[in-house]
Amino acid sequence: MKRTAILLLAALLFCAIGCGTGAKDDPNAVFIDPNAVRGGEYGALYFEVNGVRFGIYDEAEPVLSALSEKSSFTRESCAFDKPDVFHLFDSFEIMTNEIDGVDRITAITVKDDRVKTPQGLFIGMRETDAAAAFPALFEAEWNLVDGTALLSVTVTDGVVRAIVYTPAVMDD
Amino acid sequence: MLFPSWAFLLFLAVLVPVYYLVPKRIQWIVLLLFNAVFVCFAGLLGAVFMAVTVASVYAATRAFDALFTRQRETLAAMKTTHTKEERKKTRLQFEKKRRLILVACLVLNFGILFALKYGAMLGRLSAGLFGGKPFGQDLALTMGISFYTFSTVGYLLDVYRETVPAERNPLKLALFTSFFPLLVQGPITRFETVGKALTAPHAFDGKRFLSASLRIAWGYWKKLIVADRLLVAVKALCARPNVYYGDFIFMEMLLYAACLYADFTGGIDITIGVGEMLGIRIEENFNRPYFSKSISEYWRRWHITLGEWFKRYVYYPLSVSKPMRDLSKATRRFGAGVSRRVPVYLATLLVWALTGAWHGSNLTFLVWGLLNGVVILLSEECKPLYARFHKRFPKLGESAFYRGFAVIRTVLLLSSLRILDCYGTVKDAFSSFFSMFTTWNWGAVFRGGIQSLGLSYTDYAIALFGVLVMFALSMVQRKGTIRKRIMKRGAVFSVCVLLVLIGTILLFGRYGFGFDASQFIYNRF
Amino acid sequence: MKRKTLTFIGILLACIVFFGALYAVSRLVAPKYHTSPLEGHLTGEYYEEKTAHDVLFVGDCEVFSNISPVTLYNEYGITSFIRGSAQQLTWQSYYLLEDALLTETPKVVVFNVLALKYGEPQSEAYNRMTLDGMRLNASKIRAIRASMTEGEDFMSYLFPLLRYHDRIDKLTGEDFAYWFTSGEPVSFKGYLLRTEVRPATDMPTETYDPKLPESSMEWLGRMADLCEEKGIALVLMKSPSIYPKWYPEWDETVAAFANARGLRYDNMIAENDVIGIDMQTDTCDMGQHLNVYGAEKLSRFYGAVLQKTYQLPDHRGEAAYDADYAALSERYETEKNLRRSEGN
Repeated sequence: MKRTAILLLAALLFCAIGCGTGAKDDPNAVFIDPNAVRGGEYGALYFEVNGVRFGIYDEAEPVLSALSEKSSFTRESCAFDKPDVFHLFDSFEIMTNEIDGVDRITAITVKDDRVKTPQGLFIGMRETDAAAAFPALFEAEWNLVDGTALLSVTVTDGVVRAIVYTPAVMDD
Repeated sequence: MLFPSWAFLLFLAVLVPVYYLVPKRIQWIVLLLFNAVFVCFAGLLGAVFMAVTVASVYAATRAFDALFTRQRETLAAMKTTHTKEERKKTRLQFEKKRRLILVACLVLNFGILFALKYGAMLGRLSAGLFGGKPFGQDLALTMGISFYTFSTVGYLLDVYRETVPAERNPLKLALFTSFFPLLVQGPITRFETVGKALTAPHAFDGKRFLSASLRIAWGYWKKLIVADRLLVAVKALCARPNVYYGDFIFMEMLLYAACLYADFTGGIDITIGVGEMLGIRIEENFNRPYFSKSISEYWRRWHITLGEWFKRYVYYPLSVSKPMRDLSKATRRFGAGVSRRVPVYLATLLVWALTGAWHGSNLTFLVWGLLNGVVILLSEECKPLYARFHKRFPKLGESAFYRGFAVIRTVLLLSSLRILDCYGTVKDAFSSFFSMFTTWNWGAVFRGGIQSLGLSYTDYAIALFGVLVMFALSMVQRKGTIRKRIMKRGAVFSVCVLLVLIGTILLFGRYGFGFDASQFIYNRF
Repeated sequence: MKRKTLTFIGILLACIVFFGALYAVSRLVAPKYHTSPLEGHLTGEYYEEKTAHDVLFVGDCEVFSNISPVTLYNEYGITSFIRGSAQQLTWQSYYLLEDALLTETPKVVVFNVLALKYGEPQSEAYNRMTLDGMRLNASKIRAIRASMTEGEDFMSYLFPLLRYHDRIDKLTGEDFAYWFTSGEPVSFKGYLLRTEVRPATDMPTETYDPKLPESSMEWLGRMADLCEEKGIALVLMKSPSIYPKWYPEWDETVAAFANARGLRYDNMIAENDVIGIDMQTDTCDMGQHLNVYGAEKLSRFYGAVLQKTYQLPDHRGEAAYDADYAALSERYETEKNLRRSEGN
């Protein structure tokens, strides 16, 4: 009697482990590295020009081909192989770096008042107007992080002087 | 001061020559001074808490001593003049006084430990319940407090029970409480042995010095080559339960088992080695724990001093205490089995809950402790079943195959329980653990998974080599200590072994800027 | 007694073998900087010098890319050396100068002022490239102490194995080829030759602090003191590179400093037309560094200025120098032609 009970228990256990495995992942699936740099993870902190929307870590190629750059500048970082490439436009600049073999956007700098951020920020704007246009940014003391992006606005004498998107530094 | 730091090595390099050059009479005072430097270096707050512990335990033990003496004198004087009842009453009065002092001293010392350990958590809890800003968020355990509180309270209880005489010199108690190698990773020690050895004179012995150096180097070897390397992967796995689940958890279990073993036994090797260098024998804390055939055996071989402390000062007194006996009596009507088990079960679970709480302030540790207790009780209950099984297959129990099976089963079981260590919440721990049985994703593990944990293939290879060396040495250790055998082959051979250990640590250890620095593309300038 | 002696000898031998092996491994894993990045090789090359120098240049990439000592000698007979490396910070320049002054006393020291914009240690990688090649002395120790970024460990500068042991699985042929030898110099008396032509166009905008950091200005003051003490003329120079930008406020600060200390300060950006530097042909990377054509033009121009101002002797015709510079010039021309023919 007892032996039957034990056998039954063992069989049950086996079923629970063996059959209850549910949906199996594809064993050939390639693991997606959570530390790998990916574009599109900047929430509201994107930039938009002429209907082209882009942000930090987006692949540079499609963005640059959709916009027409005036010129570009390669900043040699002394002694290192991979330089910073600046793509210069009339009113803004895009910096790109090669990350794991892909050129990605690593900074967006607004240069003058001819372009506005999606929230309506521009260079030369009054601080109070900027705060009203983007309250969350004001509350974050002009350094707002969303996902992988950091939006930094420099305000001096009550006027917006610089608007820069850069990667947010992640603490793990 | 952590063991792998220049500060610690420098500290040792200054202490050892000074210790042996001063007259033996004042050797222990020099050691006390160095301890004071060590403690103050870690923070003055910690020094204050330690001073409170020393002062309170010293005052209490001296008071016990005085009360014992007075009790004996009074009772002796009463022998002819008073009745037995009156004498009993007087004795109880003395006992009551002592108990009062004991309780006050325990409350004070465990109170500090409790406040530091749970203050921040309680602050958050109360803020969650009643609103407001959480208090006590900067409370944190000061260096070694979990260890020295237990050691020193152990001494307090020993004096209370009259098993150990009270020390008259408070500085000697301070020396015992503050002995620096014990403040890093333990073990919990006894005043009778270590406390006494600390104040005895010690002459320099070249052979002992060399042997101690070997043990210290081996400790660093395990820590820097295996533990600190694997820790990177373990941390990465634990940090993202939503990414790393399924078969990653099995990997995590094995890596964590190796990492924890290398780290903890390595630290204790350094501690014991440093003690030996100073001529002080410190209790062993491990006895090849991964060769245990059951969880209860494992706990007799892993962190031995903690288990013994709980047994000596909580489990035994609790099992024979009056409330437990009353409880046992009260449950007698449910049968002899029940009445026998109730006190054992209660005491066991309480000890394991406390053991869990000692390990960490998170709820996961409490659950971990209780589960350990439950497993131990369950296997105790199953003993008759095992006995029947082994009676039926008598040869099987003795076969190497079955012993190996029992060892692997134990390691897997305790590794499963340890999953609770890794996560912040019980829910994460359980869902991670069970995902191992529901998700088959070895494909992901081997196609990008293991490379994403911050270790290179070389790192895994070095760690694997380290684990194999540890395993091989543990096998050899069954036949006696390896150091003795090395030392037997002469000083030159021993020095060569030492140099090989140091050389491999320097080359393959995971330390320094090359490993710490994460050079992100955007912080190049 | 005999047994004890044997044991002692045995232990001694074991230690000798151990430290020998450690030294060998340490040399093996340390980066050699012979192919890339070359900048790390510059500091050490100074110690291979056999002749003295009338002029020492100190500073960052704007000295080792923009001044050619070969041209200075061939045109004017000025003997010189460049103690510069990638992003060499002001205090590193100070200590490299202090280190050089232990063995020689030049007549003129030219400091390129761009690095004054950094008041704090910047990056471990640059620290290593500047400091690892330095010979061990008090100057090096002080330079390390002044340069360490957060998380860096002093001991690892003295024992490179502690820093580079993780390179054990990343070794290349270069590591074995230059295991025990520093090999041929990669520079020409501290000058890194480049022949690429990449014209300057628009520059990206930068934000900047109009005030130069106090700490770097203090180090400049110490450098002036050091030179004064030794009777050396200190000259401040802003080389003609147009990026990273050199702002008017900074220019004024340095000019005021030079004025107060009675030093010469040459801002060459304004002199580009006079020198004949054309940022369409004379730069290798869009105006950041000069290529060899630009560097030769600048050297020709500045050599004349230095010789005239400080009456520097013409060493051409002196046997010791001629032999040294003839060999150097030959290697220089070969490398220039080779690089040109390779299209870079």
